[in-house]
Amino acid sequence: MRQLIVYALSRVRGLNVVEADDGVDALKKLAGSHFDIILTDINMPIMDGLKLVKRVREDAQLKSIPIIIITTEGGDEDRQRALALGANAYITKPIQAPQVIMQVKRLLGIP
Amino acid sequence: MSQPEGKSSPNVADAEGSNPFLTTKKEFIQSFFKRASEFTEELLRENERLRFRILELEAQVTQRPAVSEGSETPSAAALRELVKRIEELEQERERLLSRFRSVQAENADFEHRYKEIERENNSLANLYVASFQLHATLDLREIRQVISEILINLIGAKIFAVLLLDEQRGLLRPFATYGIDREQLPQLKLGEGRIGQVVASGLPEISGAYHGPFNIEHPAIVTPLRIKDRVVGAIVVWEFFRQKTGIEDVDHELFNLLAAHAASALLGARLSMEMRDQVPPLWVAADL
Repeated sequence: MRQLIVYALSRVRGLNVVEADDGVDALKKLAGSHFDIILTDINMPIMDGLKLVKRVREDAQLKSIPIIIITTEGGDEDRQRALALGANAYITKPIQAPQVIMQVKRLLGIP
Repeated sequence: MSQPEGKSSPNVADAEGSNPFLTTKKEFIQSFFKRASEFTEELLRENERLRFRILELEAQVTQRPAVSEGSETPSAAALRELVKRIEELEQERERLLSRFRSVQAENADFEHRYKEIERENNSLANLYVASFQLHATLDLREIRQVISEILINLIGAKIFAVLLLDEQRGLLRPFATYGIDREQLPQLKLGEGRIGQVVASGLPEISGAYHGPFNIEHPAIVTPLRIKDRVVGAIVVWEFFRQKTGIEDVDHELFNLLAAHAASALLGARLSMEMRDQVPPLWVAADL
């Protein structure tokens, strides 16, 4: 449901959204460009969200980018695992646009 | 001084300076006058002290504000004035508090309305996204994926199935499942069992048991899919994600949208798939 995420992000002024199909595609798009924040699902083909978080945190150029996980996995252990890997926020589905907006604003320091 | 003849007093001296009686008397008189003098001086001092005290008191009285006879004391008047002022301030305070409460209520109302509008806005966004996705393709597999994504991502369904009605056999056949294998589903017949009965009625049913335990015969929600008034299938949800605490208005709207649009989207895709390259150009519709 990328469209709903894009809709939510469109409510945060000044953000341009770049979409990726999976973790590998995301890393390609992240390389050499400036990004302020990453939103990712956990369940993705080829490279899942948790591996993406790990790779971003290992990359000297990307490691400071805040990451929000959006997932169906609502258990505490899943949340702890994602946060331990370096995710900054953990949102569970069903997707609520206000929740996404609030976390994006919080991480970007937007009032 | 005289003294009777022939009689003498052994205590009296024969000359003035040597007469003991006279000496004693003189001393007595001297002592008397001395004490009188001291007493007089003491009286004069006391008099002086009292006069000084009177002057002090007069000075104090002079320093006080003039008070006319019959008028109230200034402290009582000032007190009444103060009480009056306090009452006025109390009234002013009450007015301000009343205004504050009124503004506060107005703010709460605005906040409530703002939240309501935000909720509406987000519901509309969800509905727009769902509707857009459903009608953005004529590919059956994509539509199946879209229906599943709506149920997972927007509604929060954890175990569900999309069933299509085989009208000839009266069977509900699984078109898509999530959280449960197709093989796990028993043969579902129209009008039989809880699911079959709800589908036959054409009206959705919500049981309110959102988090299991899983029981195939007791789903949380059954929503018949319709094309106009004809029932062509159903969405059955047995369980929601544990973080989902209840069915909200937006969920009902999404189920209504799926009930009305999922089937027509599937039918359109089915027809498109059957016709393949024989689909007439759209402009032909202009001649209808």
